Amino acid sequence: MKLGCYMNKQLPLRIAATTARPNSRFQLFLLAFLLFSTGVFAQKTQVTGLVQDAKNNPLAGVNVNVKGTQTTVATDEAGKFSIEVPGRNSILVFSFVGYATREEKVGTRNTLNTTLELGTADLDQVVVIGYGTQKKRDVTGAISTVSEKTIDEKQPVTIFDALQGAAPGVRVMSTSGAPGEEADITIRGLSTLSDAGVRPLYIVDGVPMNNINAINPKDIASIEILKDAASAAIYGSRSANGVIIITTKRGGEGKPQVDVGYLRSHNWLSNRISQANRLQRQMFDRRGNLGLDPKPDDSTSFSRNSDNDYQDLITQTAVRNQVDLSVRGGNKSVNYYNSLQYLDETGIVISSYNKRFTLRTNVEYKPANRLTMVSRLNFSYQTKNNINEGNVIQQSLQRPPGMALYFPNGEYIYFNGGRRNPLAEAYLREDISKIYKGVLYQGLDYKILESLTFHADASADLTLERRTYFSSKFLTSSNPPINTGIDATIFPIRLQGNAFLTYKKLFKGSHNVTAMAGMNFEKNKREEANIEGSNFVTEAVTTLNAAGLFSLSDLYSKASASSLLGFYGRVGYDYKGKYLVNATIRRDGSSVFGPENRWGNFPSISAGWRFTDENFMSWATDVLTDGKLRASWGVTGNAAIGDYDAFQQFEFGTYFYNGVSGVRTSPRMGNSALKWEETTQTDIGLDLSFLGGRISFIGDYYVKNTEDLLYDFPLPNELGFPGKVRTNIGSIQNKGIELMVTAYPVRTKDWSWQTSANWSMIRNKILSIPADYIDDIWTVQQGKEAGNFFGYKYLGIYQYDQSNAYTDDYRTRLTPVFQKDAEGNLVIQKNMQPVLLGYTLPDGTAYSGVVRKLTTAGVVSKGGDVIWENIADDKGVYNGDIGNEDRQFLGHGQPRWSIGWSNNVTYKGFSLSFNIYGNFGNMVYNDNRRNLASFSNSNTTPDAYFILNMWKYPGQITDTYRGGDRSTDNMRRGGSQYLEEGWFVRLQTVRLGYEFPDRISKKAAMEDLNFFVYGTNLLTWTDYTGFDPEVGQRSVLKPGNDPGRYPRRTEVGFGLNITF
Amino acid sequence: MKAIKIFVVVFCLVGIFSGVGCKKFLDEKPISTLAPENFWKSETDATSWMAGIYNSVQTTLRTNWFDWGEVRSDNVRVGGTGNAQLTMITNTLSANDPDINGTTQWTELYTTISLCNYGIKYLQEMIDKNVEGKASLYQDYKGQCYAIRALMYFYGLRVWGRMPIHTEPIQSLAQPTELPRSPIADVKKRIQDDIAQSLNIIGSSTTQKYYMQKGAVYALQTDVHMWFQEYDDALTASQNFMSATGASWVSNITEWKDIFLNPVTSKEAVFNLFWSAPERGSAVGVCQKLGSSSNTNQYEIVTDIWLEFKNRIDPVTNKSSDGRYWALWDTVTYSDPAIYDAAVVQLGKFSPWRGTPGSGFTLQGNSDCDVKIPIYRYADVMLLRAEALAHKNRFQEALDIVNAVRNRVGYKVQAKLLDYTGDIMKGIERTILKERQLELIGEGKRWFDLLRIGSDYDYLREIMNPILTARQSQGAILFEGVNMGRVFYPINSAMFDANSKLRGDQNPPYDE
Repeated sequence: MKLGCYMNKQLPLRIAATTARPNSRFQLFLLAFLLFSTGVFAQKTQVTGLVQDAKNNPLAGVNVNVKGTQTTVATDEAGKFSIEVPGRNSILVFSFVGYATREEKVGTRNTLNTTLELGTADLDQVVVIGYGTQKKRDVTGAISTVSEKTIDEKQPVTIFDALQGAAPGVRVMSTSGAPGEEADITIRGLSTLSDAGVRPLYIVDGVPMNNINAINPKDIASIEILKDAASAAIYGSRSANGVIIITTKRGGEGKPQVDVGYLRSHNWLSNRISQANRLQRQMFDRRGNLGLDPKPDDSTSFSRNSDNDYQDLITQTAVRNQVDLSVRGGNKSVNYYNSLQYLDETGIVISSYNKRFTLRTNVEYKPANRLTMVSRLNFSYQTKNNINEGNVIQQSLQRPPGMALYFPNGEYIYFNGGRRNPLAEAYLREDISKIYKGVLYQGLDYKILESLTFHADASADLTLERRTYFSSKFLTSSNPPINTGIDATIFPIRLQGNAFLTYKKLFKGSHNVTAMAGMNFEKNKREEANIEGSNFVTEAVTTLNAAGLFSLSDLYSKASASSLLGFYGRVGYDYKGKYLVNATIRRDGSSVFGPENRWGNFPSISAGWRFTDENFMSWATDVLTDGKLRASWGVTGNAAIGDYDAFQQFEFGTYFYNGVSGVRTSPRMGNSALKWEETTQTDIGLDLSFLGGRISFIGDYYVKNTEDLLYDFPLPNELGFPGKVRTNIGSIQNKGIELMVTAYPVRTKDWSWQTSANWSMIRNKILSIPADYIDDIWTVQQGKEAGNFFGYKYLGIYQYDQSNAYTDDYRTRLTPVFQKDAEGNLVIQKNMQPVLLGYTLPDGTAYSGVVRKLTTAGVVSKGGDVIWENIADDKGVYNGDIGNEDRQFLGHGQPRWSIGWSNNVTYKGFSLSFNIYGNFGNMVYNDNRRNLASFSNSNTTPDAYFILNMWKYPGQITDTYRGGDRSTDNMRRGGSQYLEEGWFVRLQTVRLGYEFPDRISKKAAMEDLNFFVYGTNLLTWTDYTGFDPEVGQRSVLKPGNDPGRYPRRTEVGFGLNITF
Repeated sequence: MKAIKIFVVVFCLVGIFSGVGCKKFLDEKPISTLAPENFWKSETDATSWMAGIYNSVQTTLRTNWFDWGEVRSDNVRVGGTGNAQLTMITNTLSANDPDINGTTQWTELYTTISLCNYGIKYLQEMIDKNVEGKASLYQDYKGQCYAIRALMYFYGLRVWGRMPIHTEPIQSLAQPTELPRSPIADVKKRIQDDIAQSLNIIGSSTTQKYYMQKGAVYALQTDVHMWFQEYDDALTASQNFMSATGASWVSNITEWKDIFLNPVTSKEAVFNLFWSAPERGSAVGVCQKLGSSSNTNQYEIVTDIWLEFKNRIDPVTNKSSDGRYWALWDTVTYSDPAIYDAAVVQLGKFSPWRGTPGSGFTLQGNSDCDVKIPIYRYADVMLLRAEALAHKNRFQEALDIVNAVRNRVGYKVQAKLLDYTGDIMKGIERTILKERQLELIGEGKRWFDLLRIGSDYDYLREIMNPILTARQSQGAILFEGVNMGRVFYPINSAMFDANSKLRGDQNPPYDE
């Protein structure tokens, strides 16, 4: 609030005076309510009436609102209503889904009957587009809107939670469930090959932003997602991945409205995974040697005297507390919106937390008749403790459950047999991020003529991000122990401005012409400073002045900068709203490209045809209220690369030798020919509205071709540039279908049900690339999808040593025949081996040729080893070794289709909403499970399933390889036994709310009183055995790897919203 | 229509304004890095570039000095529990094994070569312009560039065999970037030419032990000739080495220890790789590999070698007499073979004694290890010379060198020519090789010795196959048949992905 006052001081006196007025009004208003609550309020007028449709049927459930107030009633079964109005000048607003909204002035009437016409109120909604707004009915591009109400129903911590599953073609991806973890959004698939380039452009109230993590979801009035090129191309060079426009709330005309909210929730680990207990660990230790464990397990045997449930020990019931306060209001010349939010949440892993404070002030004022000015101020502060996933989560999954965590005197056992103590790691390793962010915005609109408006704005976006890290000496394995600390500061700053003219005129009543032209500039600078030190004089002080030793290469400050200049224009024409055409052009120059290729052009064109307005369609108007066919084409760009990727650079600062700071080539090669990545997108869409908007349908089909991919090209390793080179190479295609249906199946006086379902399918294909290659367990292949898993196909486990037997050409596996006794039991010799009699071919006939055995990396496979699929070379010849050439396509890393389904059911004051979403068609590599069963350390403990099922004796039929043996690399990365189905369907949120009747809330001087309970991530249907199938989808070329990340939580909470 | 006029006028004005101002607005030069055109202008530039090259040599050899030069030999057994260690000692390397990718990739080696290529080209320009009057200094630097490039190609030759040869700095994508592997003869010629070029101009300081100088280049030349079994040339080179370095034998075990601890003042040190963990921000791999205060070391020296030292007994006192015995190990802790066998033995060769000689070592942790690895030293080259002498039937001279090596560390039992019968040359060669093995243990030399002796790798097979046979239960592969190709390292799969000219040219029997 302090900041808000400060703002006001900066404004001309006249403005200050006008903003003061609502305050006095507010006092009046409070006084009024005081009077009201004691029953003395008497100036009101009671108005009653009947609402009917054109055929004189009474309409039940129609919303009747006193304009500019919160006073709202609904018509009863007979279509009748009764409402109190403050005076004779009041206006009543009648709104009902499927009907055109109607306004009636009360005047002298006490009885007010009215008729509602079938109409499409929904289509009159205003949609925010690039540098302007449009009526939804006139939109010719593919734009999804997420409303305030949709956001509220999810009780989101961040915008990402709000957007997940809300719109087709929009995928929200997070890598872990840590509190405060930033997520990413992708729109219409991954149209580039670099992870940094898949993010959409975020525009918050006209200001481009790199991340939207710090925005309070309660401040949002609407989110518009510009998906196709025609909508996005006006943002030119950064629009290839779509644009997300966020509009925050503003004040409205009327008395001040105060909203107070409180929310509290409890969170816990949503899914436990299989983990061995002490007995199972003992079974694993004794795998080769049946019998009791001879080693002691008394109080001194710290490796064996406990039975820890680590998942229970490192997790907690986390608590989220959130307090919201907002005030909004205004009059004809000024309106304001102020909000404060404080969020305090602990994480489900011990010692992790996230706290956030946000403040927003939006003020709009009219210093002169033709002049409107907007001042916006947004500040946020976030602090969180980051958990070291490797040392806390992954160690606790690996550590033998029998290993004690404490000495008898209560001290931690920090290390034991190479294993760390996950509790000590969580408590004694501090990694705190503090992010301060402020956005200042000043905008101006001047109406030069009735049809011509000039707009200018300038804004500054400043972020100060500090990371302080301290690791106690007890946590290091060094001897003598060393404590280490880091103090790192990043200071990105962005200045930008826009100036544009908007022209809008209706000619001869039916020709609508709009035009807009303007320019945009942007300057980015990023400064950073880093201090790392060790050998602290005391652990009581963790700032770096206490460090005793500094490493030269970890002390530095550096900076980088970029700038962007853009010119844009749009022309629109429609004839009676029936035929619509829009065209845009943008020309962008960016400093990050080579001097010759700095400028790029981004044109687009779109057209719409409202066929329901044609005479020949008039027969259908009873059912099909509105129908529009859209088509669009455009070119968008991507410039998400390093500031200096086009430059050859010599580096220094970390290349010392014998006291001299060395200079050398940057590991990355500069490429002065760098230019834009261009995405050409064609979209065909159909918008249908049935039964007066009761059912609406939106469908889109698109093809997105991206060329000159900004690709981090791996140079030959012989050149001295291991960090690759950024080039424009290859092309990629995304094709998809998006469908969305929204309907109001039930709408009566007491009951209503609104439902919305969306489905999207996407197919990605790398059209061309200079050379196919394999990156870890993924391939990058021409003609294939990006992010395909590539590895060794698991076929089973060799039952006996003798089961590894193949024909001479390795083509056919042979079946060993063993000696059996009269009862048909296998005869096992003293050496535990059966007696081999011979081999048969799969058809049962005896095989007498040469018997071959397969090797893996040169070592012969035995009983209990994995049977890998051997693949023939291009001549059809099999070799006897399972090696790199035996890798093959195993599955897709990216989801291929997604669903979202949201519902809202109300009964009188009760409302129930729930959302479901799901992803399908992808695989997840459970690397955590593989890692546990890789015996890389004798104290790494496989999961319980592995221990119970591992191969133990010749002849055992099982799906799990031998324990403890690494020689044949059964656990090789890329082995398909760890590749699991990644599909899931998640009950994302459920919310049950109750709005107290007016008679109760009004007694407490409240306009509205709303209580709710809610839950998030309550149920997940999946086949995946790890913590959560939603992993690592941020990466374009290497998606779906699960190394054991911060697990997700289930949240249940309640809250209260009060409006005064 | 008025509106449209205003619209057009404003738009034109903006267009004119932007046409003038845009270019400047969009000109963003790197702030914290340097454009190459602003470099090569002063003496400091040249000195800094050399520091960058040596830093890159550090990166290249940080762990590879040992992984390339010693791990697969008869010196080593596994200490820790990592997958990589087992893979190395069982001879089951493969081209795409994440555990050993650091060893099978040649990226860092070629980064060093690339920096040398820059140095060779641009230092010449500085010489031509005589920048700041320091042309002779740049000559020395350029000589060091040639020498380091030769050293790098020589490592590559011994580890992978045929290597692609790059001699020009790559500065744009327009240059040819993909080269195939060159034949051995070409790689050899490249190395020898670089050595010759270097010797013409490199400095001849005998006190700069952390930089390559003339003595170190002659050491390299000796090593290369010995690799190709060119004994006459090796004798010439080692003779030049002796006069160029002015090095001489140390006189006791404390001085011997100083070869590693204080190379700058050591009489035997020739070229050690400098290391300072706080300066570099990372530690050298010596502690991690062989002896660390913070963790189990990955490898340990086999009991036989320890026993060999222990059994070098003074005939009179009947006590161990070879000073290297307690210069290498804490002999109080490891007192008999059973104890040695059971322990994860730490090698203290590169660490100072806690007190007096024999008092155990002050070992460093994995992350603060700053051992200055010896790359070439006097005893190394002299023992190579001894081998060459033996091959030239100058047996007594050869044995004199062996005896000098022994005497200086207190082991006075002499190797006498009379003791050899039958194939005297071979007998003496084996004595020399044993002495090399003992003297240079942990210095990344033994594997290359195993490879270069005899023909068709018969020495390697003689030594290693029995050891690998014993490790067969762990899946070890012998050097025989198709697996003879395993004398080389696999070229990492990532190298093929990035260079199409390499495809189909993996070292058999490895796959790409």
